[in-house]
Amino acid sequence: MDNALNIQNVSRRQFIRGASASTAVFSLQCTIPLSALTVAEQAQAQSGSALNLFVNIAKDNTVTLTCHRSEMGQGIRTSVAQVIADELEADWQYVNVIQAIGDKAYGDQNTDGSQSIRRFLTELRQFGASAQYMLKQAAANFWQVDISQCEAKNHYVTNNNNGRKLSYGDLAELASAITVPDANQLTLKKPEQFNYIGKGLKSLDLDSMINGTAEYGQDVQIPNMLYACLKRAPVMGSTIAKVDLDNTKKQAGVVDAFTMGEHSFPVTFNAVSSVAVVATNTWAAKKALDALNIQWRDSEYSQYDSQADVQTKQQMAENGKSKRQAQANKQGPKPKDLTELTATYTLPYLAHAPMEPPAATAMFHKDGSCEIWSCVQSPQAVQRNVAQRVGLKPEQVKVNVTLLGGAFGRKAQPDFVVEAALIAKRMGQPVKVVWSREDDIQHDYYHTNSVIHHKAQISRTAGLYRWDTHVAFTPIQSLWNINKDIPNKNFELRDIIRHNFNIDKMQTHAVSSPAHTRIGWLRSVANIQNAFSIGCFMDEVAHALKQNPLAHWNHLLGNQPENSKLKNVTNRVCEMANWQQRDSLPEDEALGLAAHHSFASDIAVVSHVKVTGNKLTVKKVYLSIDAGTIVNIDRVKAQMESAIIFGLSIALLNEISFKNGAVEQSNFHDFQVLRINQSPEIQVDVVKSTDKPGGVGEPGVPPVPPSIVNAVYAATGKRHRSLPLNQFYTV
Amino acid sequence: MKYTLSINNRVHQVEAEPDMPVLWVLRDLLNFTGTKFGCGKGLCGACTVLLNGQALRSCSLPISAVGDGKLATIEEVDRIAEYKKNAIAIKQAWQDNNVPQCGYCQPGQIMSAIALVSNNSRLDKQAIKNGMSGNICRCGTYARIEKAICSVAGVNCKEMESK
Ligand code: FES
Ligand code: FES
Repeated sequence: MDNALNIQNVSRRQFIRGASASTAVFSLQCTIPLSALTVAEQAQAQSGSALNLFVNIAKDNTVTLTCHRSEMGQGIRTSVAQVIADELEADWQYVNVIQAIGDKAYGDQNTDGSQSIRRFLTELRQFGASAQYMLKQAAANFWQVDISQCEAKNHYVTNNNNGRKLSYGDLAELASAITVPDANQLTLKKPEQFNYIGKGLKSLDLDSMINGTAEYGQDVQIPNMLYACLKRAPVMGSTIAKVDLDNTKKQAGVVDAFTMGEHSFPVTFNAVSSVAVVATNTWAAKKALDALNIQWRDSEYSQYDSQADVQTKQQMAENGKSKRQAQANKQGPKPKDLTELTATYTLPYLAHAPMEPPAATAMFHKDGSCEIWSCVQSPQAVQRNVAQRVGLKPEQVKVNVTLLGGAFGRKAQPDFVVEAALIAKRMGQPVKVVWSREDDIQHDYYHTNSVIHHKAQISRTAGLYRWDTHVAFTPIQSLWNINKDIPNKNFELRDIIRHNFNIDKMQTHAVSSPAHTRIGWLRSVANIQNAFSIGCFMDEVAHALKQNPLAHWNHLLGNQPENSKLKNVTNRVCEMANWQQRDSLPEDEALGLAAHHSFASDIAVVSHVKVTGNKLTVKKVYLSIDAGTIVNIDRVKAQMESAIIFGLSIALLNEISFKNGAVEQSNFHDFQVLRINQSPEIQVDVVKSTDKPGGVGEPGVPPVPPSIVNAVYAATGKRHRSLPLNQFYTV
Repeated sequence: MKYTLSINNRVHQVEAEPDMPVLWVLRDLLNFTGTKFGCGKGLCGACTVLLNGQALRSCSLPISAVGDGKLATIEEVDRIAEYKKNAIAIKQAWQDNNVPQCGYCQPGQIMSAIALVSNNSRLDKQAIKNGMSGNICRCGTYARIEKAICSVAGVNCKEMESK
């Protein structure tokens, strides 16, 4: 097993280097602590004994566990700690968590794809078990007995011969000298032995989040630090034709102003063409920047109009101007009474709009190395990208990961950190780049707009016989290669190629959809449009066949083993929502159903809506999830609540549009997100399971929008095929 | 311009342009970073502070408008006599319901909630929703915020739900 190797390779040496060497560098530069959180965490880790990359125990029993994944609201710092502490047999009251810096030693740190638990559960358990083994071995050596005579439980090792006990704090130093065991020497717990895994433990960051001391990227303060705000090219690929900065430089608080980042599109994660104003505080920088009159050159994207784009895509998709990507044929007799049903679904571009706009602080040390403090999903990507732009090696870029005030995929792109590094280098002083909400809405890596056309051949006697799909949306690969204009078969199209459905013939085609802006990953990615179109079309077919949508889902999911979980949650959610009694609801109220498998989890949603005139109210949303083994039941429920609200924002409100190549929206007045007075009652059901863990952060989102549209149809008889619904209703 | 501000019952002197919003005075000049920047336009509530008992969006409040008003921020609102009782109760309810996800909007939510329960002797579920509608939570912690405030305001959420 290569996990044993992993633990060996990434052991103390690197951990200690990570924590202490860089702190020393940093203390040369500054007289008072910089980022309080990071320094405190590093000091804490240094004072104890490191048993491996993730586990550090101090004499006073404090256990400091390292979280190598970014915390953005999913509760990963607590979940990672729960997993390690469980196998470690640590007492939870002594457990602290610190955030790992960016370092290859941790393996993949890119916090995306709802992967933290499903990819790392076993590995993290081994790190805990390995440290527990070392504590036991240390005690065995001390008592001069065999390790089999020693038992670790709740922060103590007990000598089974005489009942003597030593605490983890007592043993820490001795244990740190023990050879790291091989994975095959470790016995992991059985699920029924778990103390923490599966429990809804309170978040370890709860206190700091409630008393205002939690530190986010926007909050970083460094002595001698300057603040920078930027005005970026409104149209992709456009550059500055004319700007006069003389007057700007004279404004109160302004230190410098300059243009930067002349790059042609696609820029991947580089800084786009912009004017930067550097000042002694954010407000001074922003005010001077807003007063500027910048003339931009046109680019080849200056004519782009997203409304016209959708019309073109729709025509192409409906007229089969597409290439086949996948097909499935099962042998069955062709029914005689086939009729055709078609529908085209469209979604606009979407912005991430995390509550915390992007921000990054950079400083260069005397030895030429660069240090970053930022709210990033992928610290190693920051190392690589910053290093490349400022002429360093990735190891010379130290990335301290703060808490992320939401991310949803936005903060996987390090463009804003590159800006900070470039400006800090130029200024020879620490600089924080502060993005405004306008910057965030207008310079996102957008979720692509999409058109999906479904065509079905259905039969009263044989049901859904043939299903053809034509998709038109821009692939994320266009970020690196502008010629990529067809979604990736193994990624963006994977869940729309539903070969496990109980259907005789299926084909998936894609229309050429070149990029006109930066396209990125948004929470659940292409599942958003795929699940929307599938979930709605399933409902349309059911109604055309005069079937109960639930019966239709059950029939299409069939008895295929790979569909059993999805079928189960679909039936569970319907039971919760009293689906079979839905006809007894008041006339203007109705239920809508949708289900979707993504990120290795299965989720079904029923929404209860009320439509009075043109007022649409979402009264209640029911959700059932099977995500296999659960680490923190409360955070799983919280993520489902979150996904419902996020999905409702998409269904009801979110829209980014382009005119003359530029984004038309700028802040929460025109890029609206759901507010508390629009939010429904929520009921979440989590299937108990000891199966492999599935993803949790993303898969709740996709089934929400189609469930709403289906409910509106059931209430009004009106079938909406484009979002957001606030184009038809007051919400 | 020189200004003398009362923040959390302590006097702070700052030098700032008259139009500088209190948000940036707090964050950049005085290091009170618990008050968050979310939109800068009074649209999201992340920057909410209390001024003489009222919840205000500090991003839209110029320093010159504060005068001798008393400001309270998330860091110490539970130590100020007039807010103490409700602030402690609200923060405890936030703990009990494990409300925060990313946590970024929560200082603003908590400040709005403190003002809401302090300034309204009789609240119901709808009044709570209306009162909190200026605070966005992109993580979608609304159901728990509502539950937490209901528990402090003595509103029976469950009973209201069934109606
Ligand atoms: S930052 Fe003040 S309301 Fe959004
Ligand atoms: S907890 Fe993240 S925005 Fe509210």
